[in-house]
Amino acid sequence: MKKAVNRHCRIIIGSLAMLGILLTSCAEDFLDAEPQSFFTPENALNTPAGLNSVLSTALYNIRSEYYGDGAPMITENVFSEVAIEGTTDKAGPAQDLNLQILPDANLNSGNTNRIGWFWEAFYENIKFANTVIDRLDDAEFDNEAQRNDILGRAMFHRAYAYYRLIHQFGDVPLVLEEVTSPRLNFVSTQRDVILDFIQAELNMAVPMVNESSNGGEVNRGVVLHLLTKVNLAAGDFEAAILSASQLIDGSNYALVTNRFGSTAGDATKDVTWDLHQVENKSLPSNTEVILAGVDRLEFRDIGAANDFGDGTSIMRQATPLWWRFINTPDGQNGMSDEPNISIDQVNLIGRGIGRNRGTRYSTKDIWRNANTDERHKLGNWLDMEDLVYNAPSLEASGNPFFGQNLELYLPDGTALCADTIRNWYGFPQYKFFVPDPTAVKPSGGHGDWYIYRLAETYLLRAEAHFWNNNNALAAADINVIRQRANADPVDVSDVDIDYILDERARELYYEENRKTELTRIAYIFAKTGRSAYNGKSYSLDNFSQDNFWYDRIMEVTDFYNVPGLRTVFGVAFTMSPYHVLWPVPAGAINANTQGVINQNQGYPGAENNIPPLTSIPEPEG
Amino acid sequence: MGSSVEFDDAGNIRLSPQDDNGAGAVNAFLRRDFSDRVELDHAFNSRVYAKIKLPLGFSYELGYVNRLEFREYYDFYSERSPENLVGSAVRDNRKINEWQLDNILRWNKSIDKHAFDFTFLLYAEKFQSYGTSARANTFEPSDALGFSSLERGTIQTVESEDVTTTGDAYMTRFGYNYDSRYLLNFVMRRDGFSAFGANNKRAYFPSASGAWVVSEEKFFKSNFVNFLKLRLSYGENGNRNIGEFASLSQLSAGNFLNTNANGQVVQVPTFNNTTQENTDLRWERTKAFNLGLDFSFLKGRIEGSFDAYSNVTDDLIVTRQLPNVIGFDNVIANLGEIQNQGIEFAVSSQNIAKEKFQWSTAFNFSLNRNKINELYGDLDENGNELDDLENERFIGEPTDVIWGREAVGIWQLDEAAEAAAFGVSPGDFKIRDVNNDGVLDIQDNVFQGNRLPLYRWGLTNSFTFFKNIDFSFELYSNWGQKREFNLAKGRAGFIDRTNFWQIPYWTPENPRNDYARLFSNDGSSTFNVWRDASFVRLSNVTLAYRFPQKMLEKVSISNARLYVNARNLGVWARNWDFFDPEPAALLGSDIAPMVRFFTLGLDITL
Repeated sequence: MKKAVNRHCRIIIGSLAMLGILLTSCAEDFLDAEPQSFFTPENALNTPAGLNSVLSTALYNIRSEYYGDGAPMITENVFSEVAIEGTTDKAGPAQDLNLQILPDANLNSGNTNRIGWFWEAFYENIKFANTVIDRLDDAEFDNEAQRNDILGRAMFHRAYAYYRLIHQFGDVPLVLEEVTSPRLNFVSTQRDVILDFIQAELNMAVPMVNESSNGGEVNRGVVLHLLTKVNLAAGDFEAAILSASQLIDGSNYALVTNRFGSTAGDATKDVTWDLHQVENKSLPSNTEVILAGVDRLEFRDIGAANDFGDGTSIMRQATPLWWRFINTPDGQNGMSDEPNISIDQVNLIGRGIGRNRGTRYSTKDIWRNANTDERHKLGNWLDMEDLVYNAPSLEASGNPFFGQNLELYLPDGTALCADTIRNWYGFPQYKFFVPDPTAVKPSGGHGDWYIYRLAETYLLRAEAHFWNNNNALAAADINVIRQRANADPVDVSDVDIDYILDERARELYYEENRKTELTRIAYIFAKTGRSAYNGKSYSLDNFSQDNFWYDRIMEVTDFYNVPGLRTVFGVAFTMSPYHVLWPVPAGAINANTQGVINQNQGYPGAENNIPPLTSIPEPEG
Repeated sequence: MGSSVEFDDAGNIRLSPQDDNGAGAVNAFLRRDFSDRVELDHAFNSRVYAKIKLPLGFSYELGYVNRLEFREYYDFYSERSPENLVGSAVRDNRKINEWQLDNILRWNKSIDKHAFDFTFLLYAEKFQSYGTSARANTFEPSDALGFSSLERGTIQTVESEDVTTTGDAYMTRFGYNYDSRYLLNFVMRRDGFSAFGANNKRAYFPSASGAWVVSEEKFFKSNFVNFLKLRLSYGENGNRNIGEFASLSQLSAGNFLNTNANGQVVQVPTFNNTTQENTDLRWERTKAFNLGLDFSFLKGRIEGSFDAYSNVTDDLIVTRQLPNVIGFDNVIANLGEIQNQGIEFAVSSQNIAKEKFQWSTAFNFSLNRNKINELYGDLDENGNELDDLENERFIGEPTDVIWGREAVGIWQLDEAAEAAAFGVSPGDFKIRDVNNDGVLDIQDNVFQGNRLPLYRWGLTNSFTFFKNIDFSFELYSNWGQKREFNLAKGRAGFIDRTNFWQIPYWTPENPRNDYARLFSNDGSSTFNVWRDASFVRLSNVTLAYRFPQKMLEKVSISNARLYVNARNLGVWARNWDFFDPEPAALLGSDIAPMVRFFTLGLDITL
């Protein structure tokens, strides 16, 4: 019996052994890696839908500038005359620029600035555009128009990214193909060369891109708007007038002048209010929007990487920190950000922290002769004196100031606010109000945001007319905007670049990329040598040492380089002319070990610069 | 119930002392009070093997190991928490199935004093993981059913992630020994792993070793030394510690919003190629050379071994920073060469061996020095290789070297003007300005020591009293390493709304030089504070009683031992005075106390 069992066992074990060897025979494809849960360029970018998906990510980056806590938009505002960094309880925010704006400082944080974010996001968009352009012919298209639309939109994204980069960083590396292996030999190309290149690309893209598209997607109007800016930057003022007119006089867009949208029936509001309510920005009846970022509360958790956690957060960033450090005239704490108390101000204006602090220029000086201008009307615009003391402790103690309007000074000159930098300035409520139902104390919730709208096209055309020495036509365009806002028309004799900049600040505050546009104008002055209203003329040779951008900010802003002016934490505000261009982040320069990416003048490392490229090299075979 | 920091007047739990979630400081009990959670991990390990004796000295072994693991994570966070406006829930399920198959063929033969042995191994493995994650929020009509009813959520998202990796190997080993005095071994392996680039999935790793038992030689006559063996080996082995799909370019998919002609929102897909592919990615290879000596003196009263090694690793798998102008921040690549050299020494001795008292000691010591020999092959104008400043890798320096701006003390009251030149005040950290140019930047970075210990040692003493009572204690030490101690900056949270560790801090009346003022200013430059973290720890103390055989025979137990054991009884650090000098990960922070264990146990063998 035992022998039979032994034999059986041996047979079983023997066959198991054979099985074992068979199972482990190394088939050639045993080691193939199968990515089951993600796409790779080979299996996903060979269809029009795949290519469109890559371009949608580029749009996501463009939209991201305007959203979130410490939004990159704020850095654009801070490096101009319309706003300063109002965070006064710590060191790190971009206030003492001489000390803090360095290539190897933290350049990508809500607590400092977002200079590094811009560099990274725009080069990512360039990567997406190059990937689509290089792989275009791997896909099969329904027709020629579809192919051209995708190619045109990719060219737009590349041009948009370079337009911003050359006005933020000056000479930058020009990358025009998809980089598929580690490449470390980048060099900077001269700004003008890049400008000419993107101008040519945009001109090609205009007829290729579809005339109309979904809201939030690039179409011909979007391309024309950017082309207008690029034409201005290149000094081709006639071409800028033409491209702007194609938008303005075409049939697709018109300035909104009548009541419309969700608040149309509210007699206490006006068209300016309607235009800037987030639910009205993407309506079909809104004929003024050219490109908007779409962000809706009900889609906030769509699972993948591209939802915006907290939305615009704009009330938090841009409204003053009104709920603290403000006393009644009899010395009691005056304000409260509690919701649902008898005078609830937090649901009206949000729990602001004053990060994007409007300067006296943007909150007072440009409104000197506002009169009936809707954009400065009480209710659309709120000054601190329009708020009331609402602390529940005042109500409980029967304090006579409860419900009374705020005052800044006692008759003897004592200030009732301990931190007027962060806590005391006026703001455009009509633009900042974004309902925030998911927060106990509203910060500014989900909502669409304008990226391009027709009002800016009018102002760009007005600027082109000015550069073209036709102030009458410039005044006409400015007055279209002013008339819509029910403001007094401007006189032809008052039209100058400073008036145009003022009108942009009135109409486009917290929408336009102010630093980019102001730098563009500074470059135009330097390139043309034309003398500005301040009597100076500028040159490209010493742009970083002497430029219109710095002079303008020093002229109208009263914060920088003022001796003795410090935040409550002790930080001073300083700025130098070379801040017209941001420092190229040290990471990009240090990792580029086989080439030299130039650093901008005034920052450490600029002494290693080599002459930038003055032409575009042929693509490597 | 009055209001307090934690509860409001009505007795409801508050969100935070300020009733908002500024600075992320929320009541620590919210999650406990308003959450339901199930987190389970079931793992089943099995091994099946068969051994067959074959004729002619061969034997065969087949082994199959399987691990089946189920992970479940169900979490619900209610809308009743002051932190939430809506309830949310998630169900995460993951199944992992992993198997390994071994075929081993052995052969042994002895002829006179010659002995041969031969081993052949054929191996394969596969790892598969399937995961599904379902999330929902905003439940209608209410969230009372929690994570058991995700379909009641108005916003639902589902994600899945599946991963498969495979590997294989074969190995041949040949051994020979003569008279148990001279021993030789040769091994050749070929390993393969699916994660590497298409052309480099497999690699060869040979090794060879020899040993000479000197004490068996006829000429070796010593009463002091009774065993002496000299060992020499050279081998290559590989490292495959990279992500499963590191050589591929991954397109991560997402969603974006547009509006259509009617103003309604439409979702469109997005692709983001977040990683650059590297089809050349291959095995990291270490060439190890080892010289060893085993000894035994005084008839075994002192025994030990001594090893010296020199390893060179090349084709290191590193994450290499790219200029982000490419649109990628980094890529995984094989670059560079590092060397590791060191010694290891272990000795144990029977100090006293009497009938009623025995005492033995074991001591070990190790020292390792590593150095980067090559990096990426980028040369400067003099032909010298460039360092990688971004990743702090320097030619000729160890991989764990600390490089940065050095905090050399605190600015004191009489240095206010100098401090102001750097934008800071008395009470803030003073950073060394190496080149005295008034700017703190990369040119002021200096080498400040190492993150890994310079050397380690351990000492165990064991005592036996009256044949039945054992007592032992162990000391071990890591010496010469430094740890980050940024807590000294006093910036771990907003002072008006979060709790804070009790640390000393600078004040004008208490002008210290090692801790900054509360919420100090970093100034214009980023820096870390490094502290020496060398320590000696009293670790394993055990007292045990072994029951005598006579007692156990009566109850048919062959062995029984009662013991009490304490781990981490105490630690002494030369310079570290905050919690424990050895990093212990706790809740994601590595500033935490090290746990002390007390164990009482009874071992019984029947």
